[in-house]
Amino acid sequence: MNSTRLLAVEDLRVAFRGDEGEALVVDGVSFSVEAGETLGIVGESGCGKSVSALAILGLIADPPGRILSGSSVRLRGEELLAVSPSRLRDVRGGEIAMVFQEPMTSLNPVLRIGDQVAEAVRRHTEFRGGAVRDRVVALLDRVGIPDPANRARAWPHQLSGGMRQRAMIAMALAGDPEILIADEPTTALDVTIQARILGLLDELRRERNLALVLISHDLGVVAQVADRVAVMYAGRVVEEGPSTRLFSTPAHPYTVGLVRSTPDPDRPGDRLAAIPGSVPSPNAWPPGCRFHPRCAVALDRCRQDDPSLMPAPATRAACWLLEDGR
Amino acid sequence: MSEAILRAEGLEKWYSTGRAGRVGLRRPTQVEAVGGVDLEIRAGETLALVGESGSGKSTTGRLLLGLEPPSAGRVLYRGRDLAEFDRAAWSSFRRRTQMVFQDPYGSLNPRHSVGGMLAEALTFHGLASEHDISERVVELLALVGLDESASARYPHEFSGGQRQRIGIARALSVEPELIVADEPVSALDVSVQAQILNLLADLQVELGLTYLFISHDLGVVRHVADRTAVMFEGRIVEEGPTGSVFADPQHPYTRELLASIARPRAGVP
Amino acid sequence: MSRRAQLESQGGQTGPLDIVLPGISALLAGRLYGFLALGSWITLLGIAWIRRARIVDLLAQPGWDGILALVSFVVLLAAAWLAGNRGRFRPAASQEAEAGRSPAALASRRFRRHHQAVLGLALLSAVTVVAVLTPILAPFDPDAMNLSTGRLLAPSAKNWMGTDELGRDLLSRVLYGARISLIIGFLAVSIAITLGTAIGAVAGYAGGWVDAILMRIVDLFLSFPRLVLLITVVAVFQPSIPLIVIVLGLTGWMGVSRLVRGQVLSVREREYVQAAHALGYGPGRVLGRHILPNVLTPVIVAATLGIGNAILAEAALSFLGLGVQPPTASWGNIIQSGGDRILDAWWISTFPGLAIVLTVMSFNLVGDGLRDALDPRHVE
Repeated sequence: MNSTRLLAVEDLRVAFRGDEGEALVVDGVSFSVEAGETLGIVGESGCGKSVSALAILGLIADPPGRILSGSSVRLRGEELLAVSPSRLRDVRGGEIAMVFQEPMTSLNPVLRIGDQVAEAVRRHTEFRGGAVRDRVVALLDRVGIPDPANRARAWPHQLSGGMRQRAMIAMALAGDPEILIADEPTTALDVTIQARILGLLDELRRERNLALVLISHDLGVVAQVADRVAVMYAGRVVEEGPSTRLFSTPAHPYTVGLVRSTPDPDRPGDRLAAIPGSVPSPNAWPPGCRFHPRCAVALDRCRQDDPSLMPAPATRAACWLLEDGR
Repeated sequence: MSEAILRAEGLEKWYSTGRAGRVGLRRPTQVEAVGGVDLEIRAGETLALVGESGSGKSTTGRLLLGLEPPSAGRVLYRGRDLAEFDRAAWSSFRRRTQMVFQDPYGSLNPRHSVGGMLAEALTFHGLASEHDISERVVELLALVGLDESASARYPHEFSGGQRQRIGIARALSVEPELIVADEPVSALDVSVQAQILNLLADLQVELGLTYLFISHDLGVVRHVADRTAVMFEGRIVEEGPTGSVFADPQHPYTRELLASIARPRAGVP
Repeated sequence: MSRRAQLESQGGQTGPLDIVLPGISALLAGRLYGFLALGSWITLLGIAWIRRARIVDLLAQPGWDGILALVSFVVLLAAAWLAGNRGRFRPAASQEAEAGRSPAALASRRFRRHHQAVLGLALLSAVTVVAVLTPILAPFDPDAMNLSTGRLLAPSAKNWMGTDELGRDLLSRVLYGARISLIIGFLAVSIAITLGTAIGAVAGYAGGWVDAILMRIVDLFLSFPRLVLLITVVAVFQPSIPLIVIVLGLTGWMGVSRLVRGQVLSVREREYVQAAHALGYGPGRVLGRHILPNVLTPVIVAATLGIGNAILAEAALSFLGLGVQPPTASWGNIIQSGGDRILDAWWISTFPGLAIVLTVMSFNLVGDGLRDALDPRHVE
């Protein structure tokens, strides 16, 4: 791996202690992102995508979770998993910022919007005094909140879901970060608002040359915005590649299944090709390839050996079918 | 043209947000959830009610099933006004119409076992004798693709998709003719969504069901619905055969809704 | 198979030795219930042996008290034996494993992991068993006076807790006092819980003006200071145990009703309740079978804590001379009688005081354990 990549996650492993012992929720995940590009991480619930994002910023509570040794998260070559707490605090918001799914619970309900953004500004920039206020208004304006000077005095509950999410994005941008991680930023929003928020994120990325990591379970959302996509299943990345090619010619059977089970508004069909079975729980990962119990084209080998990512026509996928050049 | 099973005429519903019992000059403010809806659900079809949050679609669903009384307008079941129902009529109506809910984690009583819940419905409506109950429960579970061992277990032991199946089994237990499905797959993962949608489609064919499918997901709606009604701020702004509504939307809101659907970027087949 | 599953499947273990020493096989296999069963068995038999003379007396001249104690003794003995031999009657360990998945069974497993709560439960059980078996256990008649040589004797081998100013054995009086305190506590709380749950459930479910009126009634009752009201009522009418129970019950239901009302309000909107309505179930059934079972968790916790409070209230009343009247012993009035002599005959007030502390603390521990075990978050 080229150590000058902006953000490089390598072989990330995160375990959580539960009622029945320790379970490896993220098991050897690697991805990277460069300035100005959007990486989409797509997967269903329980695949470990959110935990991976939290691990990057060191936000995994220990206990019950812990990041196993051998994992690496490097920001421009600097190993974030080994860095001092104060440096990590500088990184959070200053260099890597995160936006979460539920703006109502991510915003402090007893502080005004403007105050919360101002706090972020003061923490990560040199602005002080009146300049802070100007910066706050500028940020709120940039994220599309109308009448920003007055809206800054509003409380979170007075804003709609879309507005709250924009406020969260403003907070994330306050420190002028280079990387923005958005974990299901539009899942809780209406379709029309979702489109606008995605548009905003895309604009900001281009304007500021941000590296955007967009995590979602919604293939449409990821397909619309991402340059490259990593598909996660059961704690692993099972396929990755350029977004358009990945969705048009997916190589991994899971990706194929996901694409086929998503109803397409432009093409109604009779039956959706559903993936049989359900997502395994981290306490009971199947042996071999984790997808094999649900895979229609599983080979004998898939039951025993766990494939790693291999080259496929358009992407890279962890599937034994690719080895024979099929 | 098949007959209308349920019809809404001028349906309105508003809620007061003032506090009850407050003495004073301030009148409680009213929030209008549904502001004049005319709708008709025909036998054997799947009618979709599409809208975003706050559009009033869920409220409309509840009004149609008589789970809440309308503030104005009326609901007709096979020509009879719900407001005039006597006890026997309600009992019969409750059997003929059922609801499937959105949240798999809130739609099942955590204290009741699956079998217990189904048995209660069967017994209450006299649909099975003591003798046959466990058989019928197993039949219902099989209908939704669950093993008979599910009967003794409790909701928390099941996944989201399985809980939705249980919710569907509950609705089917009274042998309804119409089911209002309120966002039945919105809380599920994509791969599970597909399973449940297929199940609902199969059941419709097998049992001759009529569906009112409430959803905000246009992709799903396009896939399942014969006719689509679009709701915005408590009113229906567009209605028609699904294909036409999607291909040639008339109302600006419908157009905006369709344009917002997240799609892969241009250049993709 | 996980270790726990292995142990579960071994649960059916019983051998011939268990007939004489119930629970010994399970104990040797490392199961907790074996220890409990065998321990109870041995303790009970030990009591029977040590107090054999007394048991003979009781059999000759029982009286209601005595009959109850003897019957209870037999029941406890049988229970211990059955517990130790349960494998004999339940061959299918799988049945147990399945029954173990209900929310109640899961809660009981969580409870068992709380060491403090289990300790509290053990103490509570001990206190209750002692109270029930008092006629057998009490070394002396609690009312038997010895005015000549027995007054104000310090604790000794003969009188483990000493004697009071009338020569009565303090240990026996404390034991009999336990029954009074516990009975008053249980009954008062039963009244409070029943009343509070009923009012709270109706208020929460009905809403509107019914709710408003009921809550104003609650406010009305809340504005009475409990102890002052108790004192007044008891002073006006003659103090008696039923009166105390009723007054404690009628002044303790308000908190429960608010609790229940709040819970009902939130559960009422859940989708499974809507589903019950959609299935045509009437309000009585919906409230009773669907809403209340999901609402009882904080009520149970409140009940355990409430018993502790009731015991303290009774003790306070008796201390003031307005509770249980002498010569009937109650922890409160024993403390009161020893109040003047606290320096030279410290044992009279101290032992019942310790008994109260122990009992109330056990109730609190159990209540805390229940609160964590029944936490609704876990049920999802």
